[in-house]
Amino acid sequence: MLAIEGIGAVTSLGSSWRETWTALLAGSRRSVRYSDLRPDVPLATEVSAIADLPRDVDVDGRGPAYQLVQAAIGDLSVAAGISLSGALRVAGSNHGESDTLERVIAADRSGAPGADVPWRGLVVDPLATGSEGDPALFLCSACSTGAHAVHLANLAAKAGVLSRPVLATATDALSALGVAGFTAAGATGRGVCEPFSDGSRGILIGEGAVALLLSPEAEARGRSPLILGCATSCDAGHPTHPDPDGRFVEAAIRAALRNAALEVSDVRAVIAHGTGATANDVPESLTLERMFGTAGVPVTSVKASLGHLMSAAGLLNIAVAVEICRTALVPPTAGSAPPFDRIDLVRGTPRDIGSRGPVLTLCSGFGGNNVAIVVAGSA
Amino acid sequence: MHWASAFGETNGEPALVCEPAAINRDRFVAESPLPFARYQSFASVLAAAAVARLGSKLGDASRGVLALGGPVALDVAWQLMEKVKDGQPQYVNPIFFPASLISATATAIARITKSHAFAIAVGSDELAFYQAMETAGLLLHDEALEQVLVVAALDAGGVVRRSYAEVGRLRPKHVGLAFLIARSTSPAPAAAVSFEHLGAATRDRAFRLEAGLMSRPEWKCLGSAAGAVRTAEAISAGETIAWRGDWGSVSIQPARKS
Repeated sequence: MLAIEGIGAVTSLGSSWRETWTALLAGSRRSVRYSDLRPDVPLATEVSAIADLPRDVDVDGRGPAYQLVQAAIGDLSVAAGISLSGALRVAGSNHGESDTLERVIAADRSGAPGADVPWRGLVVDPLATGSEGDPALFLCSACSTGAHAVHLANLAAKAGVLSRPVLATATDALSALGVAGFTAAGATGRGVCEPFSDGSRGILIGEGAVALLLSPEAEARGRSPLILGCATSCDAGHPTHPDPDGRFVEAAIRAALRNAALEVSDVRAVIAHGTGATANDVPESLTLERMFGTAGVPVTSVKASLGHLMSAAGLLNIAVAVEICRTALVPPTAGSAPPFDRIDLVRGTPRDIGSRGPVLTLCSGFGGNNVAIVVAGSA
Repeated sequence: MHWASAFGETNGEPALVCEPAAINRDRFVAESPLPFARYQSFASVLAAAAVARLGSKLGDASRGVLALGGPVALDVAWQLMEKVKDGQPQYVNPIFFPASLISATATAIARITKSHAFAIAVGSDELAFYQAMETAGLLLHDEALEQVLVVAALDAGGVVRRSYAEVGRLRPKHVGLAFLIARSTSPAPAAAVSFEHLGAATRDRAFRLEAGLMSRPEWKCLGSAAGAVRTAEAISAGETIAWRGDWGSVSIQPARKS
């Protein structure tokens, strides 16, 4: 098994994972209109932005997404109290550094080419390069990217080929491309994001980076929470809409529980993908109802609080599961509209489940990828 | 392992790369099995053409897709961003957004091949194919998984060509290759693949030899598809390729021709 030895994160709720977790327990939420952030882009779409994040792009294409992941790794290094230089880095992002493309097009249109135009960033993705020249394994499966990184690390641990810790990172920054794309795809809707609620109004686009340090259980220091089981599936259907019946999500959940040698009834909490978009929330909640029953297990989603972190969303859900295993507290799903009655949605204040797990985390991405991961406190 | 190229044959061997001027781009799009092909990246169109040539070898199997990453969807992302820069972000074609993701080729191929295990983009540079093969080896630890489809595609036209020119790279060529790794060896495969997990992997990676090869400009201009082209070339020439990475070793040995 794989031990989760450290967490680093930068989100709109905090410049560290500790700050983010504290804010999630408090039910905090943060959002602005994108047009307030970028007055030159006429999109009133609500986003959850990181205040004061530098959004410059250098000549190599390093911009806000790069800054975010470096900050998350820094937070992890401090939190874990160890050097990460020997770790195998598995990195991911949805679009890479999207602002690079915007800078290049702007320069191209101005007709004044200069040496500082970041063409190189379009050819060589700086997010795919590890620290100290160590090549990172770069992954993208849209919003399930980070979860797939953990899945691969878990397979390597099970195969006995993991000779050093894995540093799993994922990062995406708010960009005009992403906000325009999600809005055009009909994912954002109108009004406040309230996952699993009647009149669910769409996703809150977020930004941030998460870094997890993963080690084989035998080599882990102390009593770190463990990855008990992972499994994946792919709807292989609509480019943006999940399978309406949730068949493939269910298949992934059942396979992850089998891998963990657990029964459905063993699960103590679910950190759902829960985007706030009807296309996601309805099939996901139907699946949870089918498997766990209406009041079978507490369910929460953090995306109404700090937005959808895109490639980092799966790593964030795992980080939340780790804290639940440590504290037994399930953070509330922000919102005030009536929740779906087919699941036991945690609302208002944190729910004390009196248990160190197991906790099921779910993550899905455009194109139909699904990843289910089971986390529990070490024995 | 079976493999196929998107392009026709030259002297009885599949063409591995293609000059942009040598193919009819519009015809490739029109004949593509991809839904809404004209709104997909041309790299996805090339990948789909290669996969189509695998034909019945795919069969009805438990399968996942690994597509090589890099600037594979740059043409679509550029069109989307142009609309934003025109001051019309509200009029972005909704199909463009998922097609602009780095993983779009993987998910598009998963859709047309009914691959329900995973659809992931792996790697970003000349080592991408080797990383994808190592990743395939890990994923095949799931005994329920029967096949992994590894696709490599490079659109050498438009934005990619311009980007390469701006950074001083040689002109790229189109690539569209599909490799099918199957537990079953029937019908007769082009090559045998073995994944050997050696336990303590070292940083002294044998694939640095391949990395050195990839640093040559004529390979580097193929971007993330370079290793796939190199491997297809080796299979055709009867050469064995082997390397050891962070998660085990991989050997690709051409099948003896009867």
